[in-house]
This record gives sequence, structure tokens and C-alpha cells, in this order.
Amino acid sequence: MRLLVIGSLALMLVACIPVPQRVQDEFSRYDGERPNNFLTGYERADREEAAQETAE
Amino acid sequence: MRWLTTVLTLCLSGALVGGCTSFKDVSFANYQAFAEPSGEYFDTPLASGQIIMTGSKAPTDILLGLLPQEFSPYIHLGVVMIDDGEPYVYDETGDPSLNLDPEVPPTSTIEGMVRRVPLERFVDRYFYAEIFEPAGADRAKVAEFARYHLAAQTPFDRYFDYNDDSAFFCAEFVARAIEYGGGTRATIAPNRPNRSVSVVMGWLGVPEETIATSSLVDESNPIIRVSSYSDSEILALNAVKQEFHRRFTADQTIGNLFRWDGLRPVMRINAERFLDKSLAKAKDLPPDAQIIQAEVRAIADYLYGKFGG
Repeated sequence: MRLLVIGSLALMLVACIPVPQRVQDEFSRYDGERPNNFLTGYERADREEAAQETAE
Repeated sequence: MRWLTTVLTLCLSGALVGGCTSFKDVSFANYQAFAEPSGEYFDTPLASGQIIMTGSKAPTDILLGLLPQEFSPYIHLGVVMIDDGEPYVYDETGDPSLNLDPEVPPTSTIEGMVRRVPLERFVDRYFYAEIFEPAGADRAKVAEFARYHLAAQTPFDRYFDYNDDSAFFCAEFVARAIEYGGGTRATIAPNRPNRSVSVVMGWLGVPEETIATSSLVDESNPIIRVSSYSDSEILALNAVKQEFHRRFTADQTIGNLFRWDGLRPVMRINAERFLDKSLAKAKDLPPDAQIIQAEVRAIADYLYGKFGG
């Protein structure tokens, strides 16, 4: 069983493609003011509310 | 006892494979022919030198579909061949190997070459496949080119460089085959300007241009369509990808639609919900491109808000 777990962990390590930080950043979701044409209504409302609070 | 299990497994797999070796006998839920039989493979229009293009809903394929300036629903392509009475696809593909240095992109470790895959197995990997005549080219010459490069084991072009004749990527293999067959040279179009995409493409070392698939075949006239899904679902998938493409403007970040799970891009829940809702809705709709596109856009407007005209 322990061997299986170690084997699985090793496999996961091998399976992960190392990606530099600048590329990982592009896959991050910025909740700030960066344009996003794929936000749901709730998320847009949250953003607007946050922006309003910041303005106040 | 183990030998018995092995023999049984081999016999069973042999029976299964044997039952599916003929493309004609494979029952896809959706098989349609739009041309007369070619005389090469039973009563189907299939013939060596035709071009097969596939559509997929895999996140990586949807991401790659965002890159070209001109939207294309297709993601992978190859040349159809009838060898010893059975249909195959000759295509150019590769796989990345182990690499632990983040500054070494996976592209630089890709190894591959032209390979030959049974048609039904090739089709089974995708949401749907369509087969076309090669634009303005002699099918026999296209087939000759494909056969030569299978035998030559022409390697996969890991940097997608169209000017490098010593290796091909998938669309380049087909484009060169059509050119050899007397067809016109493929149109190379720049990718759409997007900072986020440029960062990733720069890391991968891939040029920011792509072959326009519309210059290889007449996309509006497939001669065969095959899929496990209905025409309405195929149209909905294409409409979803087109809507992603329309909304993914120059100021968008890849992370708006995808996250990286350590191995590959994965669609964010907002994007997945749009795709799932659209495919579910399509089941109740007639296979009419305009109706389905309008419904899919209405779902996008509902989820993400109205966008553009």
C-alpha cells in the first residue's frame, strides 16, 4: 500500500509540466480591474461593488 | 490460470477489434455521406488523398482555437488513405517527454513522426470528424506524398515552423500534401494580437501565425461527417467555440477561461457551464446553424452579459 502511494506521488511529480511563473500568471484569474468578458452577473456585481467601495 | 486469462483477454479483444476493423461496420450514432460512392471503399465516398478534420471540446483544443484571427472549428487534421482495403488516417503528431526545467518548454521535448491510425480509432478520439476533398489538388498525388512521408518517418515540427521542410506539424503535413498535389499554397495568417497569448506562445517558442484551414478544403462542403453526437450538438459545440473566440478580445487573459492544473489547461467553471448548457439545449433544437448560434449566444448573454453586436 505504501509502495502504491509513493508510486502515485512519483507519477504525479513526473506528470506535472514545470511552468515558469510568468506563464502561470497568465492562467491566474485576476479579480482586480483587468477586463474579463466571461464573468457571470454575480461576479460583475461583486466587482462593481468592490470598485464602488474603493472609490468611497 | 493466468495463461487462460491472457488467452481469453486476447480472444475477446481480438473479437472486439475484429468486429470494428471496418469503418463501414462501425456504428457511430451519426454517419452521413454527402457524395457519391468513390468505388474505393464499399458504398462510401471515402478515397485515398482526402482530408479529414476534427472538432473537439478538450480544453487544450478550445484554447488553441482562440489563437487564429479567423475562427476555425477544426483542431487536428490528416490525410485519409485506403490501405489493403481498410481506411486509415496518416497524420503528423508528437508527445512531450520528461522535463523538469520550467524554462525548457514542453515543445522542445516533443518527439513524433508521421503515423498511421485506423480511421475509426482516429475518429473516436474527437467530438466529430469531417472529410473533404483536398482543395484543387490531385488526390492520388496527395496520397503519394502521405505514403512517402510515412515511410520516411518525417519528424514532427516541434516549433511549428512552416518554412522548415525537414519536419511537419499536422496542418503543415496536409498543406504540403495539397501543394504537392497541385493545389494552392496554404494561407499563413498571423494570430490575433493578445498579450496573454503572446506570453505563452513565446515560452513555447511557437511562431505567432497559423495555417488557415479554410485555404486547404472547402469547409462548407464535407463529403462525410461522422460523430457519436447529433448534428445539433456539433453545431452547438462550434457555436460555443465561436462565442469564446468572439469574446476573447485583445485585452483578455487566458486565465479568464482556463486554469493550469499542473499538466494541462482546464476550463474554468464559468466556461464549462456555458459549454454544458449549450450542448444540453442543442438536444432540443433542429440542426439549423442560425437557430443554434442564436440560442448559444443567448446563453452567453445570460451568463456573461451582452457583448458587442
